[in-house]
Amino acid sequence: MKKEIIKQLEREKPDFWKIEQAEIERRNIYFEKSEEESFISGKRTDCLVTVYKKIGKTLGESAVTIKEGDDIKRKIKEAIIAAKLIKNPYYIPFEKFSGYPALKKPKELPSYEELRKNVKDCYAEMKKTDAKLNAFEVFAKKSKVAVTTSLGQELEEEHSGAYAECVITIKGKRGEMEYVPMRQEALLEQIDLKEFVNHNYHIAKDISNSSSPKTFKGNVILTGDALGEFFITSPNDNPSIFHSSARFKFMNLSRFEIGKPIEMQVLGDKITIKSNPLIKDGARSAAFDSNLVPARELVLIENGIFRNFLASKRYADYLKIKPTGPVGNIEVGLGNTPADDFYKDGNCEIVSFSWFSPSIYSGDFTAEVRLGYMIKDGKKIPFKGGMLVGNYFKLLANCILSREKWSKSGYYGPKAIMFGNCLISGS
Amino acid sequence: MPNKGDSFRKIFKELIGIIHSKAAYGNVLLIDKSALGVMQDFSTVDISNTGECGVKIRAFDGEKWHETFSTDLEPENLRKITKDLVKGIRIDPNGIKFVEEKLEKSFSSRFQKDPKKVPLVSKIAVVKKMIDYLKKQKHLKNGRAFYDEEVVRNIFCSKNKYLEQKISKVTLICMAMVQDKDGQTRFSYELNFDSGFEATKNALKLAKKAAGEAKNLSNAKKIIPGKYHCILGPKVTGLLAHESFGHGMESDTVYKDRALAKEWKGKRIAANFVDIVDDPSFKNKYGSFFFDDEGQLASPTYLVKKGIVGNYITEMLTATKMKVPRSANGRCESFDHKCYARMTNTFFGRGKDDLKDMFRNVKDGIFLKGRGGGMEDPKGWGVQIQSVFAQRIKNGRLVNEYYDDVGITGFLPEILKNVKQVSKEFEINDTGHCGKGHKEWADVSTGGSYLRIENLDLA
Repeated sequence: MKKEIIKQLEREKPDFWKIEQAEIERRNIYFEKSEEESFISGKRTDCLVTVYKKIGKTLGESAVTIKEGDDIKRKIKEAIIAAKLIKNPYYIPFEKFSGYPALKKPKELPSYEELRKNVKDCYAEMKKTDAKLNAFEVFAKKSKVAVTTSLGQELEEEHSGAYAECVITIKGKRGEMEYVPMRQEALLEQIDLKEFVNHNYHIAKDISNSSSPKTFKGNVILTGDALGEFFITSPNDNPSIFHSSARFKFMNLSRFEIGKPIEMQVLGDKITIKSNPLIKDGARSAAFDSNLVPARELVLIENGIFRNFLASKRYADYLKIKPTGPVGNIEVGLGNTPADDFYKDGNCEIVSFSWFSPSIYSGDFTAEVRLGYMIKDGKKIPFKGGMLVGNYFKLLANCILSREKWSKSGYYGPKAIMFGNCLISGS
Repeated sequence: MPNKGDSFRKIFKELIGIIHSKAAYGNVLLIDKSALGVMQDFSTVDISNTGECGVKIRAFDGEKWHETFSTDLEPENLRKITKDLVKGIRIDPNGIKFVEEKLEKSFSSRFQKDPKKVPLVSKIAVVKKMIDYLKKQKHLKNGRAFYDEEVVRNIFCSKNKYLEQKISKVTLICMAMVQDKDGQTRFSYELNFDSGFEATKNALKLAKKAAGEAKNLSNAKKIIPGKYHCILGPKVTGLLAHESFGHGMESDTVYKDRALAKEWKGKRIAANFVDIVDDPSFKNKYGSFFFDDEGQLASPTYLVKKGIVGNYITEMLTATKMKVPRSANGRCESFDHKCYARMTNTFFGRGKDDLKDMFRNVKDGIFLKGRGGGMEDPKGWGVQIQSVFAQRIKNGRLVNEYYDDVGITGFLPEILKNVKQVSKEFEINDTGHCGKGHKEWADVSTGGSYLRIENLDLA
């Protein structure tokens, strides 16, 4: 199909073009209660063609998916007609770059038998406890992305992905409660299913023995799933990444200016945030972006000062800055304080939110607490419910970072962060 | 690749024959999706014409599903992957048996104006019209307008069924961004949905509404957490029906002992004027279809009828295991994803109260207008709805006092117990994407009746 597409593109002669092909192979296993419910295995290929047409000082572009059996000639002609209708500010979609990082090729997908055994072992482990595993899903994915452009560039890279999700239910003082942990990594062995289940068993147990919180004002320590979610729900849902985007700077929506503090008043540690697509076996590692700009480590915020915009080739040209390649894993600089020092009477820890989804525009959020602990008399007293209410940027400007490291699903940073002056709305 | 219905029928029936030579049951589902998107902001325009086409092939051995999928629709490949799929399958003679009636039918969305026959320039012009209006509004920082058109073609084939459907969806969205007095960016969001190009007929009105709401948002405050007497608009009641109640009525969630609803089945949870319904057969809504991804014809399910917890929404396997009625809720994100029990158009049914009268009953309260999202908690029935835009009610009237990013929380049975009135005014116009947890996205709508609820926890 690719040869036919190139033949048509060369015949129709748009000013620039690119072909992005993705081949994805999946092996997924699903358990309901302790019964195997489903196993899925297969392969899909997708092909996206983008054409660019220069008209005077403007550039029009249009993207089209070519499916098996499509009339390629007609689809490309239609895409070029669409591109001619668009008059965006001119930019150069591709340039010849060098210095592409070499990322490790992923391993073969685990077999059905291997996936099944891993999950069955987890059920056997859980049987030794007072909890039940009510569902388990494990997915393994291998993908190959190839990009070809009108400049004659042709690059290909392979990725792998693994995902685990389970339902743990357990009876406690609060009645029967559940916890549904999930984890996404590049490789299945990074998840370590047994450890995943054991760790989350304790969270489920604490949820089942939790009470509802009273309204709380003070220091909140984020750890575990809550901390991971705070920084990397998905890069596009993270207000600090959104406001670091050159596209949103160009749209006059970013609150950041290079060389200026992200918030005027900073209390506690000054935060450093980097995008790093080069981390070995990182969940969000990549060698290049869709315009073939090589990946690189990029400091977004350094000691509370905004340093660089994340820029695709298009918005880099618009803002007259260098393109930065793909958005990668999120690295947060470590602090100097041992995490244990955060656990003082009167503070509160949140280990899991129901859903942390701040407004990417304002940074405001209200997030229900799935599990937290009030620290009282040196003990951790579990609670569930109540809403942490606040503003993302204000929290980043009032935090203490632990010196210990932790990583999960593309977050690499402190094991615990304590935010000051927080409000949990409770009864 | 076979591109005509008859060619698909021939090869799909052949695949069903291969499956039944080894397995107890099987089905084949074709998903062919095309989507046109036009997006414009104050400086740039983007056009994309994307889609996917693939087939899901499933074989059931009496205990579990064996599934494969492919985008290579050549008969030779389909035969090969089907033979590979059933290799080694052993039927459990005491296993589950699916009952399926004989049915052959073809369906298609009805619209006033076929979007496929409207030239692209007209679609770009609609989006431009909205942006041109927004650009003239000095209080706005930026704006975005979207025209989204989607055509989905499905073929479902099993031993007893051969069903085809073609669903058309057109969504027009307008967003207006504004800076509030603290320098934060806030946005308003308005949309129109229909099956045809008629969704675009009020484009300018949509832009005016978005710009007006953005102006209100520039003066919005954070709400003081506490209990409030509230009127909830359809977008918010739709979210409450969906996130807080609907997820807990999904049969696969119930089967996994994840739903508190199981303990409430057949019991009173709200006053007798409260209905909660899931209805994929509702005409021309974002979550509508004629049959689900397991070949079940669309029909309404009453999750709550006259205040009593009613039927589950189901997919094929757990409905059969639990011996509960099948409903058309077996849905997958795509051909390479599993079918789960999923909602469609889920809403509080039409009530008998007059909206004006409902407002008159609120001396001091909050009108929760719209936008927002939420997360399910089927086991704990904790409610989490967030990012809602709200307005103050004083002496039954809306006053110029606005709140942004308001969250709703509480224990669902308590909230439902406090529903005091349900409006006869009813609208479902919003679109949404629902996840099973944080994944498996499915098109759903949001809307329904207005509700008056006392003692609602807002934060």
